[in-house]
Amino acid sequence: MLLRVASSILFALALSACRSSAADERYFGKTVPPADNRLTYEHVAEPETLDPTLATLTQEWTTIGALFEGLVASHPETLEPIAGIATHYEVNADSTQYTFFLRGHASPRGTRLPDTNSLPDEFRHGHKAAPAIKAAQWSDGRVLMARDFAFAWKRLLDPATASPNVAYAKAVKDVRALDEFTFQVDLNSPTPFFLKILWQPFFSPLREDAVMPGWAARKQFVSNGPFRIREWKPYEKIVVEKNPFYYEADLVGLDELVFRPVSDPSSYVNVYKAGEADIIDGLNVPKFFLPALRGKRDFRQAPLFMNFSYSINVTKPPADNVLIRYALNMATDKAAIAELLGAVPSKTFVASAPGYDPPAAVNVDVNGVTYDILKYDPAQAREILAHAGFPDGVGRDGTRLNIPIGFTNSPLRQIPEIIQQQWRDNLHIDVTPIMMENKVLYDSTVTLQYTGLLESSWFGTYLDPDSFLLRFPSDSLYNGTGFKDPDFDQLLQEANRTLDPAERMRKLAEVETQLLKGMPLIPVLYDTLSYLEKPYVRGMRPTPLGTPTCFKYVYIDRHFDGS
Amino acid sequence: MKRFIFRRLLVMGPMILIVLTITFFMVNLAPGSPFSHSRALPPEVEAQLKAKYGFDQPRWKQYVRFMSRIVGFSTDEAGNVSWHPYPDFGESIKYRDRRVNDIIKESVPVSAILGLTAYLIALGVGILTGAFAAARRGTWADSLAMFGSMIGIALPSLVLGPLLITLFSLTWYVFPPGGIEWAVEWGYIRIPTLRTLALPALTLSMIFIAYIARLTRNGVTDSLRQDYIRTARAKGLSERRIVFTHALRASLLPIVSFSGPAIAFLVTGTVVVESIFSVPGLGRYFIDAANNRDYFLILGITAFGAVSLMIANLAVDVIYALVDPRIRYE
Repeated sequence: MLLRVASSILFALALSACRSSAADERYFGKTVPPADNRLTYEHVAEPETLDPTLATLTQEWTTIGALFEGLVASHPETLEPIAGIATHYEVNADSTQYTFFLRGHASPRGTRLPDTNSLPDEFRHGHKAAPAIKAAQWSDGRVLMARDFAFAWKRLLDPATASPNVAYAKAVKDVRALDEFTFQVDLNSPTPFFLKILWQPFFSPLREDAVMPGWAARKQFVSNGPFRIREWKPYEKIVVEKNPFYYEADLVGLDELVFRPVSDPSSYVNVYKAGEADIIDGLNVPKFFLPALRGKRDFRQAPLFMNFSYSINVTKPPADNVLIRYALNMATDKAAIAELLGAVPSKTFVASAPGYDPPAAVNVDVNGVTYDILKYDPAQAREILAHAGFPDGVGRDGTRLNIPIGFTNSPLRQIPEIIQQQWRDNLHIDVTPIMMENKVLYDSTVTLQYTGLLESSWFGTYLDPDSFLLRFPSDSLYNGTGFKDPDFDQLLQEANRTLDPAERMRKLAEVETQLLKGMPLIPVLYDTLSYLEKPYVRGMRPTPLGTPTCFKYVYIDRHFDGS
Repeated sequence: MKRFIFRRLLVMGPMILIVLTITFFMVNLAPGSPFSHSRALPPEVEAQLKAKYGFDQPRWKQYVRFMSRIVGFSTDEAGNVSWHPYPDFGESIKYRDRRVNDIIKESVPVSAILGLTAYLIALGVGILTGAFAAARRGTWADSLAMFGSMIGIALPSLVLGPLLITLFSLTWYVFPPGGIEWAVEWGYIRIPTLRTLALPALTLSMIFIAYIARLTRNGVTDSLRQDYIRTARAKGLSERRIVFTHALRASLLPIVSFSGPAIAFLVTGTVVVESIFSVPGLGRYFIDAANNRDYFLILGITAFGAVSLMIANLAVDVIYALVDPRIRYE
C-alpha cells in the first residue's frame, strides 16, 4: 500500500515536472502578471535604516531611491544627470560653486538639465514632463524648498550625525538656501564632475520637522520621491505606494512596490521562480545557478561598477617589496579565474566608465629590463621574483616564500585556492588561505593588522573613475594597504580640477598608472550583475552601480509578447 | 509543589545573570566591533557612535550599566535614573533607531507560532507513528516506520527544506517557497496563513516527529511487557485499547521530558528554517546580530532564550508530577 502511494507520488512528480517545463521553457518559472498593479522587488538583505543620510547598503539605496529624489536624477540608460528636484543649474568659472534652481522657481537661470521628455518612450509611455514652474511637494502635500536641501546637507556634514557617508561628501564646503527655490553649494576644490555624484541618496532633501530620533523606523515618514512608505515589516517586506504629490505622479506606473529581503541564496532564486517576486536585484545569485539560467529570456547579465581585488599590506614583509608585488600580479592568470566564475578579468583597478581609457600597459624597469607589470607572464614573474631575493621562490635564508590570503565566505571564495595553485606552479611559492568573518576582514583592512593579501571588493558609487581612485590618497580612510604616494595624491588632485572632461579622463588614466606602479593591490576581476526580471516588467534597468534605475519608470505590461 | 516552583523561580534570577555575564564578556572578546564596516568610518564619527552606546567607557562600567538596565533601571540623557518592572536591553546597533525590546516583541510571536505548530505536528504524527509501530512491533510496518524516523533524524532541515520547496513550490506551485503572509494581525500577535506556514512548519517538525516516534515506540514496547498490560489482556480488552489507552499513557514521560527543551528551542527561533523560508522570526535576528556584533541584540536574544529554556524545564518538572503520581517534590 505504502509503496503504491510512494510510486504514484513519484509518477505525478515526474509528470508535472514535464508539464511545467513545457509551459515555461523559455522563462525561469512562472510568468503570470500580478492581479493588481504592484510589483515585488527582491533583494539580498534587510535594510538597517532608511535614513538617506545614514544608509550605505545597496538594498537601502534601492529602497531610498523609490522614496526620495535629489537635485538631479539619473538617465535610466546612460545614468547621465537629468532634472530631478532641480531643473537648472549654474556653475562658476573654476567649478567651485554650484547654484541649483528648484522646481517652482519663477525664473531659473543657467544650464537646463534634460527632463523626462528626453527619455525613450519605454520610460515615458506617452506622458509629458512636468513643467519646471510647478513646485515639487513632499508626500504630505507641503512644498519642497531649498531649505530642505540645506537642512539635509548640513545634517550630513555635522559630525554629531555620525554619517558613514560623510567622507563621500568631503567636496562640499558650505551650503545655503538663497531663496525658497534656489540652493547654493560651495565646494572645497574645483569639482567639474560634481553633478555625477549628486544622485547618491545622502544628498536627498529632508524636512527638518520630520527628522527626530527614530524617524526613519516609523511606520510613516514624509519623503519626496515617486513613492512614499506605507509599511515596513522587518525581515518581511517594505511596502511603498505611489506618492500622489510627486511632481510627475501621472508618469509613475505602479500603485505599489514591495521590497522583500531574502538572504538565503537558493531561496532568493526560488522565490522568483515560484512567481512570488517579479524582479530580483541580481547581487546574490549563486554561481551554480548560472548554467540553469543562461538562455532563459528573463535572465540578464550586466557589468557591475566594481572591482574584486586583493589588497596588499605594503608596510609588512614580505610584500613591502614592490618587486614581489609585481611578481605576484604577473603570475596570476586572471582570465582563467574570471572565466570560471562568469566574470570579466581585470588588469587594472578602475572599472569601465564612460569616456575613460584605462592604462593598457604599465612599463617598469627592473635591473635594466623593461617589464609590463600588468601582463600575465609567469617566466618574467619568476625573473622579477629572483631580483626581489627569492630565486625559484626560496629566500636567502632558505625558506620558501609564503603569502597569506585573507578572504570571506562570499560567492568568490574559491579564488584564493585557485591563486594558490597558480602561484605554486608559476612562482614555486606557498600560499596560506585564511577564511575570516566580514567584521574581522573590515577591521584588519582599516588597522592594517594583516600580512600578505586581503580580499577587497570595491564598489564605485558614481559612474566616474574618481569613485575608485579616491580610495588611495594618503589621507583616505578606505586605503587598506598602507600605500602612500605624494605623487599619486598630487596627480589625482590635478586631474580632478581639470575642467575639460576628455583631458580630465586622460589625466585620471595617468593617476591609475601611478597607482599600479605602486601596486598596493592585485586586481582580479569585475563581477557581473546576474538578475532576473519577469517578461511583463517594463521600464526597468539595472545599473552598474547595483541599484536599479528609478522605479518611477517601471510599469506592468499585461499584453507582453509571450512569443 | 508551590514551594518547589517558587524555589526554582528564585534560582532563575541568578542563573540568568550568570548567563548574561558570560555572554557579555564573550561578545566583547570577539574580534571586530559593531562599527567595523566595509566603508570605514571617519575616526570622529566612530568616536561619536562609541560615546552614544557607552563603548568609550571602561569595560566594567559598561557591564554595570548593562546589568542595571537588565534589572529595570534606565538612565535618560539628562542623567535621571528611573525604574520599571521589565528589563531594558537598549538599542540595536545595527538597526539604528530600533530597540531590542521591540525587536524581540515583534519577532518572538512569529517564531513561537511556527515552533508550536511544528511541535504539535511532531507530537501528533510522532505519537501515532510510534504507537502504531509498537503495536505492530517486529513486522514490516514497524521496520518501515522506524526506518522513516531514522531518515527524519538523519535528514537535516538544510536538505529537507529545499527538497520540499522543489516539490511543493517549484514543481507544483502549491505553497510559496518563502515568506509569511498573515491571516490575523492583532498588535504583536500575528497568525500566519496556512499556505505560508505549511512548508516551514513541516520542515521544522520532521526531526521532532522522528524523535517522538522513537521515544513512543520504545516506551510503549516497554509498557506492553508490564504486568498490568497482561491483566488488561486477560480482561479481554481490544489490542487497540491496550496500546493506545493503557500502554501509551504510561510511556509519555520520556516525551514530556524531551518536550521541554524542544519547545524552548522551537519557540526561540530556528536559524536554518527561518532563513531558508524567509520567516521574520527571532532566529534570523540572532544570526545577523552575531555576525554584526550587535552586542545589545545578542544579549537580549540570549537572555530571552535562557529564560525560555528555564521556564520550559520547570514546566516539564511540574507536568512530570501531574502525569506520574509517584513523583513528589516536597
